[in-house]
Amino acid sequence: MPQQTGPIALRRIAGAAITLLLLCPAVARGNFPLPPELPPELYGNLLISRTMRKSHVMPAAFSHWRYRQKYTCRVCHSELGFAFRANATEITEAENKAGKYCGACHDGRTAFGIEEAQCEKCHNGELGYGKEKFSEILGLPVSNAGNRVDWTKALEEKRIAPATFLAVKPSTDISYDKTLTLNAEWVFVPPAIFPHKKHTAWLECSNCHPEIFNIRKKGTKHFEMARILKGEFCGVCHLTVAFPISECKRCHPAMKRSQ
Amino acid sequence: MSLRNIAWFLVLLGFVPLPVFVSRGNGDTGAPRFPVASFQARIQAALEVHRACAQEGWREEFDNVCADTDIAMTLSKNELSERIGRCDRLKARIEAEEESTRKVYLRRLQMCQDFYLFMLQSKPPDR
Amino acid sequence: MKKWLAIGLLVPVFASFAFAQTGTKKRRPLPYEYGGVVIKNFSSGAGLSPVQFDHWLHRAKYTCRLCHVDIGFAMKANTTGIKAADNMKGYYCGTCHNGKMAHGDRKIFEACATKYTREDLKRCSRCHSKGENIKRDYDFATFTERFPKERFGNGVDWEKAEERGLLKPVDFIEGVSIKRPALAVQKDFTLTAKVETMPEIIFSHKKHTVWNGCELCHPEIFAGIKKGMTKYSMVEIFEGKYCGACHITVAFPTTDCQRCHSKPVR
Repeated sequence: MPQQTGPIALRRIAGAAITLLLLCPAVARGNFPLPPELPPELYGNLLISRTMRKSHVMPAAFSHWRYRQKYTCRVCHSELGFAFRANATEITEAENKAGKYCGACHDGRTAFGIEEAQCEKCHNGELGYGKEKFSEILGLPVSNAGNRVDWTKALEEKRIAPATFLAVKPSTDISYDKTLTLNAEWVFVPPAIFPHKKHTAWLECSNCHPEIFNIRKKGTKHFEMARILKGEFCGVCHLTVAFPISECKRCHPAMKRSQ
Repeated sequence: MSLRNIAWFLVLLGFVPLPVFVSRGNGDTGAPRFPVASFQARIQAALEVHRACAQEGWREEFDNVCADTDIAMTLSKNELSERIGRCDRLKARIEAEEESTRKVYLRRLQMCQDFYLFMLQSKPPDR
Repeated sequence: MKKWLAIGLLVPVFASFAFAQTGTKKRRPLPYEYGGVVIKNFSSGAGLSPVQFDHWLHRAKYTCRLCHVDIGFAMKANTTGIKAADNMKGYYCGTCHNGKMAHGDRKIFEACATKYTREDLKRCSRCHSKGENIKRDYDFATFTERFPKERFGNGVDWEKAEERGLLKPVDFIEGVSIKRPALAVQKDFTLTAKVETMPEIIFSHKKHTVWNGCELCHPEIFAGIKKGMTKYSMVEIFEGKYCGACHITVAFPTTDCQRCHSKPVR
């Protein structure tokens, strides 16, 4: 085939290049679209609707702010085995009644049980259910975003005392407390400072390693803001439950202004 | 010389009569008689016994060789090498066995031999 | 032509970046599921479901050494090549599953048969039960009720249960196991982590030799310093090498970081 040169060929090449570029989200994104800001009493709330189609039951509403005062993240997400994504855990009524998942506490003793009269306390389909109780956390240290509560400070100042285990005490506390400096991919963005200690107060090692963050030295591939904003890496928690990603300076302390 | 070996020897020499049922053509009841068996029959029987001895033999040898894995740390290099050699010879004998026995015992022998080799390699070099 | 070929190859490559994901967690096995192994070398050829073997019941009654050294099961599923013929000759599962061997006051049911009736199929399904809803003889919750608990894996601290005498696993079968002189006591030693500031690991041979034989780990799993092994990386351990040969699927899982990375060891 004779080599094609000339305007038609150039247009074709340009068209192909643009198509390719559009298919590379990481490159195509110029600025970082942050998720919309939610009212404080709705931040961290989710609706669990995994079996809604089959069972015709209203989605269950769950508010993280109500639970994290009493239990650390590890209790539910490590000990009880809840996944980090809504609808990813196969919770069934039978298992709840058998003392698994929600039923570990919702047994009629620690909290209300799984009974006919109590169904609506969860299965109400309202994301803002229970917001009248939000005032009970207003006394805690304040922050600018999310629930408007600085949970880390609240824990450090012992204003809250969430349980670190339910049935079996961990053999020792996690003593690994290294602070990492994570360089940004963009030249003008100062590095992010990651403190293990503040995270291990709430989480188990296995909550993040190795499935979310590879433990290879510099082995976590594509560790970029674009991915974080899609709910990967830090975004697993810091988009919906922990302090939101809009708080740039919380991670990038040397940043001059927030976006 | 083990008891079995002696038995084998005696059978071969015909000192042990083999009970053989013999029927006489003209109406005898065919009650057992004890003639001395033919030389061919004796050879065959002797070979059977010898095979049985050999089979028993390799099992015993296997138990003997691989019994020392737990104390392998205390064995000298020579003792380890000797056991590794015995494992090699045992391999040939086990290869002659039927499929299942071969499968199981070759694996067990390999684990045992590999471990002795591992211990040998872990020993510091001689000065 | 070549141009379009290049584009045709590059487009899916770039498109895949859009779909690549990290951070999706695998479903964690439930306590009774942990340690389950599916064996399916020859079952489909025989018209049977694959075998669902649950470690928890067997490890409560027998040591690892008995099956993996004395009886000769491999450490990786589907690499032993167990046939019904082997079982019926008294090898592998058939060492105990022969209708005659007793454990406590129960006779262990016979494994496999060359000819079987419809009734016999029930017996086959006791093992060949993958994907079928077979009611087991032993209920996990009832069986493990009185054992000390741990956070992950089966939720049972088998090590402690054995220490306290709640379990007395059988370590020797006449005619199968070799009579061995007693193993010399070994000292615990420290392994430094590859990542600095990560707590050190104290490895106890003593705790492991309660259950295992030397030849189980050496040299197949741990080839030793002479072969050039100096540090075992966690990445490889998570992939099932070294400690991961057992501590991902059967023994307490690596999710319990503090159990190993602690000073002193529990």
